[in-house]
Amino acid sequence: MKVRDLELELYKEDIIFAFSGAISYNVLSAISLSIKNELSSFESAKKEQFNVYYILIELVQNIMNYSIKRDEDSGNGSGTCFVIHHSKSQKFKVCSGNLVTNTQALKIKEKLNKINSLDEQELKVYYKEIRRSGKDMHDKGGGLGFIEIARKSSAKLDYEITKVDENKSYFEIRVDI
Amino acid sequence: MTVLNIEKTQLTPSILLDKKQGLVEIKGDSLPENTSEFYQPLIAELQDYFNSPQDKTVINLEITYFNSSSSKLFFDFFDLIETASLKYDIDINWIYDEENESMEEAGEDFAEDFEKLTFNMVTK
Repeated sequence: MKVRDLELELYKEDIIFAFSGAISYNVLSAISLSIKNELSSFESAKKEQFNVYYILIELVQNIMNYSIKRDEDSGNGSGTCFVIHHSKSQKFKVCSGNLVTNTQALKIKEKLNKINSLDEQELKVYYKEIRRSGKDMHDKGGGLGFIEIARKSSAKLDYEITKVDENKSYFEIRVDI
Repeated sequence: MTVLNIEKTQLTPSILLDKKQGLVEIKGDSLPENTSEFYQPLIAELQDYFNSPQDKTVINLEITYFNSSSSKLFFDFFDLIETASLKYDIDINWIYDEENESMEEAGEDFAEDFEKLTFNMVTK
């Protein structure tokens, strides 16, 4: 594939930021800086930009902490994430995808279905309940991430899990701001 | 230690605990590599401080972003403060950019969870 073709494709799809590969804390830090710079060139509301940043960083941390590692030695999860700014609607969308074990895929599905069944007020109550109880929680904060993403999104969480083989699945999520 | 002072970095906030002045400040983004490790010195010094605090303690929080593991950490932080507030006078200023309602909501979420604490919502 030609680099120019990929670049034109990104442009055509209104993708303003994209990353694919292994994610270490240094990479996370670079992504944080880069997306902040990128967003500052838009005239959209501060809250909207903050939510794009919040959701992207939360998804990147999910990749870092939960995806299947391409390289066992590095200890860093790999995946792909990108941010779309639709030129017509002026709306942002944040997307990410990575490999997970089938066991994790089941847990994610259960969690996201529960989240999608709740309205705004119920999500707030659920968020607080999980934060208070420490349930599903560890230092990585995994229990809270998707709930907060849903609270900051303008629609239900659009996700897909595709089985790759008997051990792993590909998980992808597309979040409308 | 009478003063704990940690400088701000791109992804971690500045932290100040001045025991003589009864002042606690956290300012900046909170996305540490290891959240509990990063905040451990503050939590430890704060526990020590509340053994013999000043008549009044002021806590200024100007957090511009925090990830979900920091959210859990702050919950435990407020839990500690709330316990101390039963005996001592503590004021919390939650300082946020008025154009960013997300940080305002985050402060309100904490205020609702810790009803015994006084949260002053301060815009800048």
